[in-house]
Amino acid sequence: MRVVLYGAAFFLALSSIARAQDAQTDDVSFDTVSAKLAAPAVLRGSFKQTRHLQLISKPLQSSGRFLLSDMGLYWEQDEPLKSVMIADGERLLQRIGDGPLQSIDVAQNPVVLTFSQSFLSIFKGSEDELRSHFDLEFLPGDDEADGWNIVLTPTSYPMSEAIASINISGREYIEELKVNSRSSEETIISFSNLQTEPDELTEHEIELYAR
Amino acid sequence: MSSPSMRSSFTRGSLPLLVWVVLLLVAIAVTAARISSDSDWIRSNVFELLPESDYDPLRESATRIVDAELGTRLLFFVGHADRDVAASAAETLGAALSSDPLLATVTTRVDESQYSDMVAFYYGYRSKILSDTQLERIANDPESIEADAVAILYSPFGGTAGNLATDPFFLFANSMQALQPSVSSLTFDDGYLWAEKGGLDYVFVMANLESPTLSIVEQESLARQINDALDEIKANKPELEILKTGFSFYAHEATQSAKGEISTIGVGSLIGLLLLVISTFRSLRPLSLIVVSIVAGCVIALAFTLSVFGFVHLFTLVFGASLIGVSVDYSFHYIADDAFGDDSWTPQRGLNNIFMGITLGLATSILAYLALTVAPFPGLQQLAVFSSAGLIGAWITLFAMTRLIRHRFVMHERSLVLHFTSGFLGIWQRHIARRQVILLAVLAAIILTAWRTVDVNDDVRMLQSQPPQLVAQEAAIQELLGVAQAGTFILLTAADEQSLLEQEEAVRVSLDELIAEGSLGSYQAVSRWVPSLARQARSQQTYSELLESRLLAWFAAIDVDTEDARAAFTELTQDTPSLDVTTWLQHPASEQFRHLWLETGGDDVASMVLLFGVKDIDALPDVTVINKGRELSALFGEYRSRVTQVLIAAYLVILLGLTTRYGLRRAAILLVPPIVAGLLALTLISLAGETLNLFHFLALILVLGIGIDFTLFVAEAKHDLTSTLFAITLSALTTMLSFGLLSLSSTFAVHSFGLTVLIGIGFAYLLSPVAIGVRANSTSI
Repeated sequence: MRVVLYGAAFFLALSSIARAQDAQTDDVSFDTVSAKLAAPAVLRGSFKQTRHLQLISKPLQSSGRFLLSDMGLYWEQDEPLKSVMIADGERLLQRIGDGPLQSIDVAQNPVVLTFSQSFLSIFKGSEDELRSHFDLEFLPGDDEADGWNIVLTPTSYPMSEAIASINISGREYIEELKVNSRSSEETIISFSNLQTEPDELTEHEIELYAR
Repeated sequence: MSSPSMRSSFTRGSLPLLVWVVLLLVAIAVTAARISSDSDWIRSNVFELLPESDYDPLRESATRIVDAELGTRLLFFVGHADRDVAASAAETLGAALSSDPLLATVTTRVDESQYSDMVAFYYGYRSKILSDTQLERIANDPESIEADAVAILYSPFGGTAGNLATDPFFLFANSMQALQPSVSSLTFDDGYLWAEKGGLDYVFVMANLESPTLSIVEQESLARQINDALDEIKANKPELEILKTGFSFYAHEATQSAKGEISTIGVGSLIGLLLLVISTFRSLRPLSLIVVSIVAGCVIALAFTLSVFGFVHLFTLVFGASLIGVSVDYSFHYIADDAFGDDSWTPQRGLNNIFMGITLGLATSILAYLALTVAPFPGLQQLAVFSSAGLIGAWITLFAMTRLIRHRFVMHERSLVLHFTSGFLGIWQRHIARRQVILLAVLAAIILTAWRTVDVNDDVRMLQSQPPQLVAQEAAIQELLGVAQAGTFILLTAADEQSLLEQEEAVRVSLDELIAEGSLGSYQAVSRWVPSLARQARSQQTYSELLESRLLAWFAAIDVDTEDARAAFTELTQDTPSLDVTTWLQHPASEQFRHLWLETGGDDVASMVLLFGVKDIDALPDVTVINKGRELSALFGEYRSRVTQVLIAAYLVILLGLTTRYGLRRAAILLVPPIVAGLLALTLISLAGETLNLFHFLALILVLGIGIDFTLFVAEAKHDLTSTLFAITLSALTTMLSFGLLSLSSTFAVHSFGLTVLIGIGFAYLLSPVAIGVRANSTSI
C-alpha cells in the first residue's frame, strides 16, 4: 500500500503523531545482549513457524530452512507448501510453488518493507535500525545466565497499525521470535540447527540468492 | 477635414480648450464611476482575449483549479548524507515555514491517520473495487488467487495480511494498491517521504499557500522570508543540500530583476529624455506639453474603452498606452514650428502650419488601428478602440494646450539635435536623394535574402524570464520526485454522473497504455476512487462467484471450523452498498482529490483527469486535452498571424486614403519607409539569432503609426524642411529612448517589443527623407 504520492500530495498534512524519539534507559542494555549475541558472517538453520489465527482453531504450522548473510535473508519454506522469499532490505523476492520468482515492490509497500527490514535487523542485531521503528525493552533471559529477551513495540506507522509487539529471545544466537498482531493473532518462529561454519557462503548458497 | 473653416475652428479661439476641459472632466467622471462601482473594471485573464466562441467558462474554471492546486504549492528537498541530520533539518525548515501566516499548511511528516481513515473507508467497499488484474485472475486462474492466499497465510510477514473472516483471499491490499498507484518515486519511512541521489538522502517537505490569490507582492515577501530561513539552516550545517521550487520563488526573482530593470530602464530613459529636451530647448516646458497630451489621451482612451466594453484588459492598457505614445509627434511638430518661426510666429499660425501634417498623421494612425477591429479578437478590438480614442484625445489636447502656453519655445543655439538634423538633411540631399532608389533596392535585397532566416516561436515559456538556478532546482526536484510537474489535464463532461465515470474509465484505458509505453507518467481521476456502478457491479459479481465457487473449500483446506466458515460465507455474500460520488465527496478520503470533480452550474456534470509527466501531448487520446502553456502559445501564435494580416490590411487602407490626396504613386512612396523599416527590424533581429513572437509584430503597429507620421510630416512640410525634420528627429529620439531601453529587459516579451521599436523607428527615421519628393508643393520626385 503506498502512502507516497505527489501531485495532489495525497496523504500529506501535518503529522500529529507524537513519537518517543529515544527508548528508556534499561537495566540490561543492548550492549549486554550484543555481547552475548554472536555476530557470525553467515548463519544457517531450520525454522518452525506456528501461527494462531482466530478463525482457525488448529494452529497453522510451517517449516523450512533459512540462510542469513550480508547478501540478505533467504527463507525457504518446505511445509506445507514450497515457497521461497529473499529479502535484503531493499528488495523482496518471492516464489510460490514452482511459479516464477516475483519481485514485490517494497518501495511502494511500506508495510512489507518495514517488516522485512526489521526482520533483518533483528537477525543482525543492528540496534539503530530497530530503534527507528521500535521502542526497545531489554529483559534478562529465562533463568539462563547467558540468555536474553527483547520486547519490540512498533512506534512508526504502518508497523504500529498491524503489530502490537515482537518478542525475541535467545542465547548465543536468536532462538525464538514471537509476533503479536493487533488482531490478537500470534506467530511464533523458533530456530534450530544453527550453524556458522563455513563462515563464507558456499557456491551453492550464493546461487540460492541469485535465483 | 481639410476644409479651411474647420481647420480655423481648431486653430483659433478658445473652443478647443473648452472642448478639451469638458471632455477630460467627462472622461474622469466616467472612469471614476466605473472603477468605484465595479471591481471587475480591469481584467488580466489572457483567455478573455480569445474570440468569444473559443472561451469556455468550464474550461476556465478547471484551469483555475489546476492553477490553484499547482500554483500555491512550494516544494522542498532537504538532503544530507546522514538521514537523521536531513530529517532534523527538514523539521527545522518545517517549523520555520509553519510560523509564516501566508502558508496554510506545511507538511514535513505524513499524516498517517488520514491514510488509515481512507483504508477503513474503502474496506467497506472491498468487493466493489477489485483491480483489472484481480478480475482477470479470478476469471482465468482462480487457483493462483488461492495459492497467493496460502503463501500470505504462512509467510513470516503474514501477521499483516488482514482478516481471514472478512477478506478471506487477502485481496483488499492489492485492490487498494491499484486504487492509488505510484505518482512518485518517493519512499515512506519513519514518517517522512524520502528520495535518494548522489549519496544523499533527501526529505520531502511541502507547503501550500494560504490562498491562490496572494498578490505578487505577498508571494515575493514570502519567498524572501523562506530564503532567509534556508540561509540560516544552511549556515548551521553547510553540507546540507536544500532544493526549492514554487511560483513564489519565481515571483521573487522576477520582482528582483524587474526592480533592477525599472531602475535602469526607467531612470535611464527619463534622464535621456530630460537631457534631450534641456539640451535642445534649455527648458522642460516642451516635456510638459508632451506628458500632458499623452496622459490626457490615456485618460480619454480609458473612459471611452470602459464605456464601450465595460472593462479594460491589462493587455490593452499596457500596449494601448504605448501606441498613444505616437502622439509625441504632434507635440514635437508644434514645438519645432514654434522654435523655427520668426518673430511674427503665433500659436495660431503654427497650428495652421502643422494642422494638415498631424491631422493626416492622426487619420492614418486611426485607420491603422481601426483595421485591428476587423479581426474577431476582442483583445485587438479593444486595443484599436483604446488607441484611437487616445490619439484623438492627445490631438485635441495639443490644440487646447496651445491656448495655455504663454512662452515661445526657444531652441538652444548649439543644439546637437539641430546640428545632427541639418547635417543629416544635407547628406541626404547631396548624396542620397538621387540614389534613393538604389538604397531602397539594396535594403529590399537584404530583407529578401535574409527573410528565410526569420523564424517564429510562440512558445509562451520563451516570454517569461526564467532564472537558471531556479530552473535547475526545479528540474532536480522533478527528478527526485520522479514526476514531471503537472499542468496538463483532460476535461470531460457528460449528462450524468455514471456516464461521466464510464467516459473516464474509457479514457483511462488509453492512458494506461501510454503509461505502459512510457509516454505518460501517471494521472489522477475520480473514477479511480469511485468506479462507475457498472464497473462496481462487475467487481461484485466476480467477487461473489469466487466466494460461491471457492470459499468453503478454501476454508476447509485450511481447517477453518465449519460453523465459522458458514457464518463468514453468509456475512460475505450479503448485499453491500455501492460507492457513489456524493458519498465519496463527503468523506475525508476524497479530501485531496475533490477538485477533480467540477461544478458546471447546470444539469450536466464535469470532471478533469490530471496528467503528470506528459512526454508527448499529441499522443494523448482524442479528448479535450488542456495545457495552459500550450493554449497560451497557440493563442499568441494566432494573435501574431492576426496582427500580421491586420498590418497588411492597415497599409492597404492607408494607401487608399492617401491616394485620394497624393495619387497612387506618391501615396505608395509615403508608405515605403515604415514598411522597409519594419521588415528590416524583423530581419536584423532574426539575423542576430532571435526567434520572432507576437510582441515583435505588435511593435510593428507602432512602427507603422510613427513611421507614417514621419513621412507625412515631410510631405506636408510648409516652409523649412529642417524644422520638420528637426521635429521628426526629436520624436524618433524620444521614442527610441523610451521604448528602445525596453530591449534591455530580461522579460522576453518586453525585450522583443522594445528592440523592434528601437530598430524600426530608427530606420523609419533614417528613411523618412524619401518623402521629400512627395511634398505637396514639389513638382518632381
